[in-house]
Amino acid sequence: MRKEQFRSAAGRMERSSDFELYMWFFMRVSGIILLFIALFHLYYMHFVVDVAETTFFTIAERWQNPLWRTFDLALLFFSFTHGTNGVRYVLEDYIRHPGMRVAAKTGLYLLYGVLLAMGTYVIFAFDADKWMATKEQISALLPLFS
Amino acid sequence: MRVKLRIKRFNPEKDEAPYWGEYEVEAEPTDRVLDALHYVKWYQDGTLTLRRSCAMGICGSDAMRINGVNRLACKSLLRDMGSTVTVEPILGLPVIKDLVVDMAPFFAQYRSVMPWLINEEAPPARERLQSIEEREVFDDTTKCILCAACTTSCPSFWAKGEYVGPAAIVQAHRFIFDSRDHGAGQRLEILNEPDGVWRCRTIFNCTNACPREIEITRAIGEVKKALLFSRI
Repeated sequence: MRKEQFRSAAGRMERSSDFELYMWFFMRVSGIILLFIALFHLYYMHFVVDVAETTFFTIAERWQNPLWRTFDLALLFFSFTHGTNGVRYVLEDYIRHPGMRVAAKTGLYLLYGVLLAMGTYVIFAFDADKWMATKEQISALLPLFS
Repeated sequence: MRVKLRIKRFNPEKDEAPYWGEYEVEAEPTDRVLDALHYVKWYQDGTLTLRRSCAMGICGSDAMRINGVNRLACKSLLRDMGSTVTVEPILGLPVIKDLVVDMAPFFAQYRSVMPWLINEEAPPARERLQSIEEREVFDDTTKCILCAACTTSCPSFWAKGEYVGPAAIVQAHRFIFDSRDHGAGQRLEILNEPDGVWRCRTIFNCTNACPREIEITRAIGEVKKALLFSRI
């Protein structure tokens, strides 16, 4: 396929979709959601739990409760998707060369996919009960490494 | 008062790059920037090139970047500008000479939203009636004079000249929300393209720049909402 044909096909595909419309709507909705959950996260991690005392076990204990896992999953999904789309807007606006733009966006989507998958995997697969059961033993060992 | 004018000059037949020309002008505080520019052109340097027609804030010819802000030279009083006034052509359009830019891309975008009445029905014997409330909906966007101050103040437009731009969206809004017009669907489809209304990042430069004080960002938001509600 010739380059021009490919470009006009890509152009038609972009034109025929409502992708930008739904992303615009998503940015508004996720912005409102983040206003609450990101602020709550900030409040909880800095005022309720002292940062200086936040350890592996603070999180492990929290993740024994599925509600906390749901909260953290929502925080991960909304903040990361909102932020990634913001970066996409910057790339769309300022990279003029079509090939470079596709390359940059592909890189961004890959990074987004891998990091989101890793974060989601940890939230679901983390065995909080197992780690809490070993808390005493590990805590006893920790000073040896400091 | 004595005013120092710094004017961005560029003659493509002579200059390799634009440069700043400096001029001293004696003026009244109630004179306009346009009067000072006239004084320079008529008495100091006849090669200074600018566009203006009515000189009364209606024709929209003399939009320029004055002290870093897009304004009409005929609506900007010297007393509000300080003792040094910098004048540049509006940004994002090709400079033809000095303060004159090529408006062709701007008007092509204006035409792309079909800024005329679309109504296939036979015209009634007298007129297409409209209530005061129906007229009120798009009253603000009828005030546009197509001076391009908004579009050329928009960072999204600077970044990508294909963006249809605030002025064209204002013109589309003026017909989309007109009860006598039946072309809203077609216009919304045009504005739904990637270089349409979604390039707007809600920066508000357009609203600040508009010499007619149109709430442009609000109008763009109403078009976005109309598009959204046509889908969900």
